[in-house]
Amino acid sequence: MINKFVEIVNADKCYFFSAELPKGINLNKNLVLLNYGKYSPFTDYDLFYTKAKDRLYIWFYENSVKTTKKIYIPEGYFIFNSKESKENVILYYQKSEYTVYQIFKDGYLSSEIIESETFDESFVKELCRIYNITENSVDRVAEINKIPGLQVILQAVSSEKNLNQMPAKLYDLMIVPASIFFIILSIYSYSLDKYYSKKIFTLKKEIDVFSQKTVSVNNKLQKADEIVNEWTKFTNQYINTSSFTDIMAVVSEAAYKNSAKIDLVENRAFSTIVWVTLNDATSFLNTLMTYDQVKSASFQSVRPSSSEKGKEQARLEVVFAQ
Amino acid sequence: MKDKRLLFFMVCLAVYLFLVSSDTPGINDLVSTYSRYKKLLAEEKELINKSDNVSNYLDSLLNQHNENIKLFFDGNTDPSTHMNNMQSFINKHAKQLNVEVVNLRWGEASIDGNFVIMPINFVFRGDPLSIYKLVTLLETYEKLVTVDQFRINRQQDYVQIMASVSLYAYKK
Repeated sequence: MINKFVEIVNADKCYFFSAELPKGINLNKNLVLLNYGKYSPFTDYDLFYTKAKDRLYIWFYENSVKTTKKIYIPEGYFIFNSKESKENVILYYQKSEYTVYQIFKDGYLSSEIIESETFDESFVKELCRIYNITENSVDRVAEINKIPGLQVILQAVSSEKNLNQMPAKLYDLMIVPASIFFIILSIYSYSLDKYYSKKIFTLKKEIDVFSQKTVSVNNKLQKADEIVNEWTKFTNQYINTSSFTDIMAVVSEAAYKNSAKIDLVENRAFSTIVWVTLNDATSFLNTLMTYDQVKSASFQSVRPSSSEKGKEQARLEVVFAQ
Repeated sequence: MKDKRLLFFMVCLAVYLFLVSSDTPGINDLVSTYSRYKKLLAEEKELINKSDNVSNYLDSLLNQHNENIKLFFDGNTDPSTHMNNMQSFINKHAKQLNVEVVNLRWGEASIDGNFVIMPINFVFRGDPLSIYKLVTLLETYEKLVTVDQFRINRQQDYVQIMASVSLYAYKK
């Protein structure tokens, strides 16, 4: 997949250059071009650069090799990255048209040589002698990994001659899909809108038809509610308490047990007020509470009786169970 | 070439933003409206299925309502007729129980919703048990009467008492 966006520049189309990188320099394409462009053997060229330790490696290539809008990465870069050990070694990579030799000295890529012949042992011996590298340290790169990692692609992108071209590239890449996206979105939204609008319209019509049929049912329900509410309110207000007979049965028995005289029994919406004259109001209250019909009973007032000396008049609120 | 593609993109974007997106209330709103109407329709259908039950329910309520109304004093009858009937009822039972009806007074009727509340006040003299029996008999009167207050006005060691009884009668 990634290969579709990446094109490898053959080593024989490239010119390799390396330089010591001053410390604390933040490189960019323009800076590399300004400082090292003069080393390019080409007049109309582009470059790919990378850094390793304190060295800068540049591969120049002619613009004419760029025939598509892909990302161009030099073959030498892949060879450079193919081996871990790069102390004092000569790497060579054979292709049918040429052989690439990369000479590493003290951990740095010192030189890249392209020979238009197949592997030449005497040439390698000569290289070993020149660069003072043992013949055992000659290593063949059988195959290079042409699938670049994300880091490589980012390096390649950052090696674009003009970073200002990136938005343009992005624009080229995105403009058509974005247009298609909005066309599909428009069609989808419009269709969905029409689909649901039509469904809602049909439902509305159906509801209207049913609503006409349910008018009488709703009216009946409303009428039923009115009747229920009317009678509920009436019974709560006037006949919510127990009957007088039931109330008096309890109150008079309790009064008899406590030798009390009943002065008043008054029905209220949810309770009954009882006035009694007696010797011991608390005893009367306790007696009331022993009846199952009595839900609660409490004193509203207890005071000395004005008519009977030594007795007290108590006013109680009694709630009877329904 | 680039300008044409940009123009095309702008047209697509404009169509979406100004013709499609602005003209449609939003898919979520449509879906929720659709669901609401669907629920409403289901409720309407269910109501139609239950129409017989509703009719039966209303009929039973109306029957109960009419039965309840029968317990009330008839609004079309002259109030004095009610008073005379009730007084006859009380006098008849008071005589049997040896209770004296000292006073009978009809208070001013008040209106509470659709009901007319008619207060009646009796003063009885007699022995406590007989008065109690008489008041409980009032609750068995052919029309609905509820005891609001039972006051013992004077006590003579419970041999003879005077009791004031407040009642409510109802008219619709």
